[in-house]
Amino acid sequence: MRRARDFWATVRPRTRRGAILATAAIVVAAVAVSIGVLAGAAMAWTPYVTYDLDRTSNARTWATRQLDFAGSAACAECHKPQVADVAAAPHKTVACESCHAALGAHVAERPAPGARILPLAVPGNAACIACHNDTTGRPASLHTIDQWQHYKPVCLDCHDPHTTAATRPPQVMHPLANLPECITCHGPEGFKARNIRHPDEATDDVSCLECHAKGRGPEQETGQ
Amino acid sequence: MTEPLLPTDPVPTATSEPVDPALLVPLTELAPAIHAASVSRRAFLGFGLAITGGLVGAAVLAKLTPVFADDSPAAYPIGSSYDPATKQWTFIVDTASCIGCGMCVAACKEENNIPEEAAYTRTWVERHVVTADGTVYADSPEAGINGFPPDSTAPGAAGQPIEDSWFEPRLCMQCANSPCTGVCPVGATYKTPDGVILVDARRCIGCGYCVVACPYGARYLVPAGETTPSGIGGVADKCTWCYHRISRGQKPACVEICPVGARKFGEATDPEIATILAERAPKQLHPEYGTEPRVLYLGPSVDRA
Repeated sequence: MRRARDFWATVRPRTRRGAILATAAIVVAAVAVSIGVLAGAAMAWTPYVTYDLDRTSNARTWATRQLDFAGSAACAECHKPQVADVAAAPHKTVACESCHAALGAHVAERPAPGARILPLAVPGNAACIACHNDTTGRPASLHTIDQWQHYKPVCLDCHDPHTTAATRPPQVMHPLANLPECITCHGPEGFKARNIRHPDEATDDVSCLECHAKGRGPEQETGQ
Repeated sequence: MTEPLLPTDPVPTATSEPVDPALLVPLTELAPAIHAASVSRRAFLGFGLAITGGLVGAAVLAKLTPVFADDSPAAYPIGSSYDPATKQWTFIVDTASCIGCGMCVAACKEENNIPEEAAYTRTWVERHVVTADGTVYADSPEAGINGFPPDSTAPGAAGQPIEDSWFEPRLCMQCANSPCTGVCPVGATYKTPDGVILVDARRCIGCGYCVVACPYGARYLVPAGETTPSGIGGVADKCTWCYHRISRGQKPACVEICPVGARKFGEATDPEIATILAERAPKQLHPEYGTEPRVLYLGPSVDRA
């Protein structure tokens, strides 16, 4: 006790200025320690608090990146008929953005109903062919075509991508009696040639009328 | 000590000589200062109380603050309550329904700002072809981003009769027993409480240990350039299960975009996922690696093994 009193006698402030400085030093030290302890506590309790080299704060950086694909649910808020068509068709598993590309920015804009906005990118053949061309490895349940043996060069000329219904091929309107084979007029040499994408081997009348007889059409493309 | 001491300076006490009383400041003059500088018991306890109160206050504030504070645009709020500790995500890949269109690879590249060269990719699609003699050939031209040519491009597979074939989408397995997080010499790759393994690009030194440690080949080194997922080049990168999408309640871009639903994502308690887990028993791909992959597979990829 006496020793402590001796120590105090050596360090005690002896002037007003010294006392004020000592007080200030104690207060500053206390504040500094408190800030350190509080910041440490905040980081310990909130692992994702932004702090440059905190390892897990990085998770927050990843979690708050901007997204490009809005998701089909966002499309359904405005484009109800199209979404309903797709939901009832074999394309129900296909997301809007599978064909129409990323629309995150479009959704973020939230154009008012009726406002003039640029139409969506209408996908070209490539979008259809990406799934529907005949490729080794595809499940048998998938409807595939050989695109070089298919009839029209533009998929959407016949097929509605939402309902997947196809318009029927042109129906033969003229009488068939007393006429030569279809290929006579509609072959490569004929005056009204068939589309070049028709299968080369199918040149007999039976093959033609499979699709072009009145009321006939490729059944598998009318929604199944 | 050649200069004379100022009258107000403290007097050396080591000296044995009696102190000149004239040098000492009268005690009455010093009393208020001593009172201010010394710490009374009350003041000491007060300090303690203040610090304790501050700590408790900080803890309460931390608990009340969302883990991921929401400063994203109004159209895409992060669930203000997204807490990684409460989520256990499940990813299921159905190789029986994959059609190899490659949309998942393209969507991933766009969503995550991956460099456009095919060698840099977080996900890819392989085509496995079994020939009549039982050999399995795999090809993945340009990681499958442009789909697949009609016939396998694997050397040796051309022209052989094919017995079976299927597509196998691949991505980071987010292994429960992950070698990549173990080998990182700087602790740049780590596992979040929801099980997703991420890379801190600020810490990564680009040594590539994790790239070779991954038995599933799910990692790559991002080249320096303008197109980088994290904004930093020359570092390791990998699939995050679109961490920025799942934190907002969205599905990863590849799952969202898959036209045949070959990729499924959700919590194990989600009805769709729970049904698959209960009825179709998805399996790990290459469980023999021992890394406990958390992406589960259905279809020929695991059924034929």
